Amino acid sequence: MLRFWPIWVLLLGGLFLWGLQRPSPEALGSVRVGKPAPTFSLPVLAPYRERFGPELGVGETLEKPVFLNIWASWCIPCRTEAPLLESFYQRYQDRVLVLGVNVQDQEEAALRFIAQYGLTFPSVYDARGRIGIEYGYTGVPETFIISKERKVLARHIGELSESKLQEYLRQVWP
Amino acid sequence: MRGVRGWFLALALPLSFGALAQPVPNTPPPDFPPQVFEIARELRCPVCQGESAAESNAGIALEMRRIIAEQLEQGKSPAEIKQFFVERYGDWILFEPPARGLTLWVWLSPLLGLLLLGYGLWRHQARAKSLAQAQAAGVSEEEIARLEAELDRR
Amino acid sequence: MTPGLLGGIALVGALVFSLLGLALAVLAHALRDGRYLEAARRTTLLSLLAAATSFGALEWAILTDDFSVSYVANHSASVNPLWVKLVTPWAALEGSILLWALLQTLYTWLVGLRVGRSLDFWRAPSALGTLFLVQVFFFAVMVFVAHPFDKVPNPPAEGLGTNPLLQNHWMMAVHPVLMYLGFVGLSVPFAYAVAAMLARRYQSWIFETRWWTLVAWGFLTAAIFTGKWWSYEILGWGGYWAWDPVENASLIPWLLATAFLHTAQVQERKGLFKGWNFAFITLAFAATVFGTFLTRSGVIQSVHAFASGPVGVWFLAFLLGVLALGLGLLARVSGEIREAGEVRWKSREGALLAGALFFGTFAFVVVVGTLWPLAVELLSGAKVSVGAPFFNQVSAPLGVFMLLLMGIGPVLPWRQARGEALKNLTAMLIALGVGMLIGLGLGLSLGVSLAIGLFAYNLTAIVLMVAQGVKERSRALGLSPAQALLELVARHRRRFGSHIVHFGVALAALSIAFSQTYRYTEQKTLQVGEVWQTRGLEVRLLGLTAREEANRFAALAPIQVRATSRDGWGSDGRYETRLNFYPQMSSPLATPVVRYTLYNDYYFVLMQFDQEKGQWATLKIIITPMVFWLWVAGGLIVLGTAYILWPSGARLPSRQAVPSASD
Repeated sequence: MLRFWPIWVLLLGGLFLWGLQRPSPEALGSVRVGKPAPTFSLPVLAPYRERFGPELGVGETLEKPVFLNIWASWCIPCRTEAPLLESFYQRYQDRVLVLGVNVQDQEEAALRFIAQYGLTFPSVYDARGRIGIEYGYTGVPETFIISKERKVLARHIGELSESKLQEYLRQVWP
Repeated sequence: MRGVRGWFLALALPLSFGALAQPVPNTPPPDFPPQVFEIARELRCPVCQGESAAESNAGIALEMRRIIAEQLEQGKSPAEIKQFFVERYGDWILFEPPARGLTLWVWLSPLLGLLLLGYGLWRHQARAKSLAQAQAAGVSEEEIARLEAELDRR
Repeated sequence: MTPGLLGGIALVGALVFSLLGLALAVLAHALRDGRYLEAARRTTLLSLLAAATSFGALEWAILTDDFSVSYVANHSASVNPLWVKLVTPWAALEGSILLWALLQTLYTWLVGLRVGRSLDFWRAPSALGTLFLVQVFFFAVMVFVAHPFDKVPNPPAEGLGTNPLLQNHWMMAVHPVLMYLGFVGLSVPFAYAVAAMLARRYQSWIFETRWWTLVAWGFLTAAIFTGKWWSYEILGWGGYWAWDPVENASLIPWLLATAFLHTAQVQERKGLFKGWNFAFITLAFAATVFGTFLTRSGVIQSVHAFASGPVGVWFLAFLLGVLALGLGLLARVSGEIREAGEVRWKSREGALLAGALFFGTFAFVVVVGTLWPLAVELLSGAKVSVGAPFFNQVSAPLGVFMLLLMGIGPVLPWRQARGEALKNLTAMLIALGVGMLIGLGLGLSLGVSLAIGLFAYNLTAIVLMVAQGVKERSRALGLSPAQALLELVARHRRRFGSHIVHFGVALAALSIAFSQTYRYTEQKTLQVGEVWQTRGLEVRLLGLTAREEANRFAALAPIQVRATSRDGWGSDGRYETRLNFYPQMSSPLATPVVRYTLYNDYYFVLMQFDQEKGQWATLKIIITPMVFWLWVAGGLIVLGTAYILWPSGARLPSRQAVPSASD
């Protein structure tokens, strides 16, 4: 065994070197991807009730693909993400539903956030973050891309970008 | 407590500063019996650096403890509750790796280590012994007896 | 002269002196010239002074709030209390490397003092050279990658502050220093091993190396126990060991050094096991480097990791270099080490080897368990966790075997067991059985009963050995038993000290078994004035207050506790649970109040409170038995080690080649 010491040292070194160059060591893969999205229905935040009704969520059947965005008013990346999502929704609202889920937040703070960024895509309120856990979220913001057949196609951790959004759009509308 | 009231409002300020702070909702959390913590200790908190769901004060960990408490009340077994989280987060959430596939090797590591080291030790001993016997062949029985007696006396 | 400038210059000076010392040591080794060796020896003091100046400059910068130094700006604040400022050098990455390097120069200097005494001309150059090489690494990392004295172009008026987790408890002042003293201390045995292998003198190094290893081991043990205590008092989860990767990284060198301390005795006594001892020491030192690599690279997720920076690759290169040097040399000489001799299992040396086998296996398991998530991710892309439930289950049986061996080993005579030893063994096994039965009779779990039995077994072993020693001495020297005991204690430090250490370990095992099995946690929200009845306690929430302190806000919830049954024995009193709010932290930090008693520890944590009206507070109670004895055990182990090491003047370690038969 000792004779092969260079091999052991190189194996250990290789393992660590690989570990060091991983772009995001903390990122945890989602087990939901490729499986049906869990259904839920939650109270809609006040500004959207008129248009979307008292409750909204992921039902058994979907009218169009859903971009499920989990956010909170206290999260900093959500602030740069909000205008991006808004403009995306303005352009593509006939093709996809951008659905915000406000988690672990206070309702007043969430409403202030919505007013500040003038968000028109609907958001539901989930004080405890229960739906986040149902989807297996690891923090905010996080976005789940759900096809019209209610299958989770992708999960995006952290802030979205325009190019990423376009990529996901092509995934739901090939 | 009236005099204190102002204090807490002042205290709420540093809480919300920096906006990074996750606001603590001003509603009391549910009461947790000991079993909740026993199960939560075996589950990993998804947002923390390696803390368990029993220790962490992050929002997700708190919600996990609530879910555990609710499911216990519904009469679910600890194994079923853990399975609930595995379905949502994968095996990663279990601090105890499942004894199958690649993680089976971790469970075998004590045996493997014992066998490897034990084999090395045995081989070393066998060599040293045969070498000693080869050397002893050149020494008379009488000499060995004398030396052994001397060693015993020390 | 500003502190930043002074520190930077001193740092470069330390690097230059280390390089110079290395060059001189290499010359001394190659040319066999004593003048170079003497020059290298004197350079050790120069590098120590340069490192001390640099460290002093960092303290100076922190104490004078010089925020033009980026380390101070990022990790200190002018409002910090004095003691926090004093310990800030080791609160973050760059400063901790500086402390590490300073201690390394201190050890190198101490080794320099041994030159010409126990370190002969053949080994001294390579031993000093190895230590200088380690120094070169640390100073080069600081000068080129993680400079503690980087300048801030526009100094802020106030610093960002120190990590609250660290300034929340005074233990943080001690624990890292002890840990580094232990980690760095293991570089000396490594240097001795390298020197022995280079000089091809395989036997003589062991005597003094055992002594150095014991020094490092003592510090490492103290560090591990203070770390546990800190974790227990601060983190608010009622535990003391979470099997976090970084905690494991401190345990691995400890286990390997322990294995070495035991097999070294076999080499001292019988000249056997030379290759294994080289391997244990190399791996123990490599494990300390592995630990620093883990904490500073972020390669594996850990609670304790420093912010990951560019130093990871450097530490990885250093780790591989240490392994390559030690294992490469060992592979080269292992063919030459020809050992002749026989070890019977039923003898002291047999038990020592078996002990080393278990320590080695334990270290192997901890290494595999720590690295496996990374390996699985590489092989399959999946993420897994290997945590406390796994390690607890695996270490329990290994621990039982080690406790069994710990009792019987010292009782067995060298070479071969005789009738007397078997008689002692019978007594010990009876104690084991009785202890277990008592435990089971009290309705305790099987594991805890076994722990009681093992404690009784080890206690019996120690009492029998001391009694036998006293009897022999009083008969042979004509002393009264009391005098004979005193003589035994005073003259046979190594033997008596090891009894203390072993007793401490048995006590620690008992405490761990109890506290891990019977920890009780409960959480409840109380209205002010409400009374909570639970497990033998009655807890009344007295009120809620808030207080502004120098560098933090605190919310306080005083409680009145009264014992209502035997389960709550000793818990009576008024306690002030608190949550501390630090400006640089996103969530409040709970500071538990712990009521220590001889049996149960009562642990109260304020989890949440009514921020608007101050009418309710959520409390967590953790009741854990026997934790108090863990700290006693830690103290005993460290004291026992110090007792063995305390210079008695009468002997040098190198004269212990042939210990007395009773030893």
